[in-house]
Amino acid sequence: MATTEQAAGQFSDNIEETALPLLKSERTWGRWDLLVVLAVAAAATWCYIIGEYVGYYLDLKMGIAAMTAGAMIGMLLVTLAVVPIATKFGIDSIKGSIPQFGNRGWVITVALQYASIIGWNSILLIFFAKSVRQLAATLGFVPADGGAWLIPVSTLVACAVVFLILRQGSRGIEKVSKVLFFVIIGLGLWMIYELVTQKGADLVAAAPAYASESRLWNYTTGIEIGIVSLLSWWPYIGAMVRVGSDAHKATLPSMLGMGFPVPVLSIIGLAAILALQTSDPSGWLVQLGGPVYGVIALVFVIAANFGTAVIGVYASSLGVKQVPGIADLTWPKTVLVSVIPVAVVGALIPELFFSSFGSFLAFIGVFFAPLCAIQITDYFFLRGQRVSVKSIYDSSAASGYAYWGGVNIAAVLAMAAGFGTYWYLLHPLTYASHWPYEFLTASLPTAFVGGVVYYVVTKLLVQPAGKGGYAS
Amino acid sequence: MTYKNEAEERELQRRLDILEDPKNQGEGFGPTDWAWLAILGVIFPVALLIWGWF
Repeated sequence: MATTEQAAGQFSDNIEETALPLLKSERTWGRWDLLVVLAVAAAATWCYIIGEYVGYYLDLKMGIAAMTAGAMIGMLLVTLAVVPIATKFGIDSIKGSIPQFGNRGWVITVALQYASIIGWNSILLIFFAKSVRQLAATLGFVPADGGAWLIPVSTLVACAVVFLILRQGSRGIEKVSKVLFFVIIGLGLWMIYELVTQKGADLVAAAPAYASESRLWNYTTGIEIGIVSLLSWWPYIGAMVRVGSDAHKATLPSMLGMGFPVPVLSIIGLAAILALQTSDPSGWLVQLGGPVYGVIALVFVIAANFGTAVIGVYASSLGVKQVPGIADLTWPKTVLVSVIPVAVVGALIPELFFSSFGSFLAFIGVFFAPLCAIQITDYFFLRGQRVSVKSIYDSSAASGYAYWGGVNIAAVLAMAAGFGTYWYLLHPLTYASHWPYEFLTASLPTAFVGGVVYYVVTKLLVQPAGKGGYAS
Repeated sequence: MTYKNEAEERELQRRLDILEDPKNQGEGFGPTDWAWLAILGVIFPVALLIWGWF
């Protein structure tokens, strides 16, 4: 039988590839490390698509304001929901949700994380593959309207590279992030400069293509797109900030590293769609500066998307590693569980998935807005920031977080109430809206309703039943 | 249960024992952090929205 010391030694080399809580001595990322990793995670070409969607409804000035404001509000919700508990015990977003969802109910959050990250990674790697095809066409390697086969092939190659990088665990992330950070930031700023200097007049005069008659509705929709885009960070952020030693070190990296790069880079997509009617830089940079610019754009797309895809697959792998059956797989096999669905989507239905981006964003808002609100309500207003780490890791019926059969009814009802609220305010598929959407957005009322329902049900049902490990 | 799971279980218990002590836990948001959160997550967005509208 192994001694405790032997066991500790066995895990010390690969501790970040397990769902074990990290001790303070192992949480070695400082502010700068966190800032770099979080910025690289956030800075991907989804920003162009986000900017493009905002550019359908708003001009440049209103688009920048709405997108940035929405992004910072969304980041605030995610930061409040995840950072305190993740940095308190060195745990990821999924473990951090057990006090609210229960020691079996957390599968709800794993499913959301898995679906969300697979969705985003599919969009990223399909975007990359489309850029490869676009550049190949520009350089004359394939016909202008041909080379469709390049998209699934490039997606599969990208998935293979992500897998190879992640075989090293989070050490692969740190190395890749530090290299990519300066490439992404530098090229991103250069793109903004090129757009503004060459198309400044067009940008000022450009009108959004699908704006409604209501200026307020357009503005609110820009804010909503900003909020839901950043709610997407819920599944990612826990796996990163848990390597920081406390919430204090993670606050600014979270808000500035993960929150701010998205709207800044989205300005590129916003400006490009307004002035050049395309958000893909490998398309519009060729218009501005010829094939050389196209090659630079592709380098940027590769750098930005690979960094985010690597971090996304890592976070998703950590999440699914907690699922019975997957827990005993080796780390490389666990990474495959996260990579293979992306490869399948990218190889079989790239166009269908890519064209459904708006609905995918709404799906994020539908689920992650109430999820954040539930965690904030529980941690700050019901538990007074006191959580039992032993109960989080106790899967038995004796756990403080066993609730009813391992599931907290309050969380389920709050999620359902949030789902209904969002669906009423902004239909995720049609984008048809109802009052008071144009005054409040859809995500913020959804979060509010989710939080209130959770609070009320906890007070009326959970606490009187002696469930949930709440201090009496 | 495999050896690996037994070892992991022991390691988990060791870590939980350590982390149960508040002095081994990460600290929460301090006053400065709350100020930054309010500035970056509330005041800055509201100011931006006013700027963007007019």
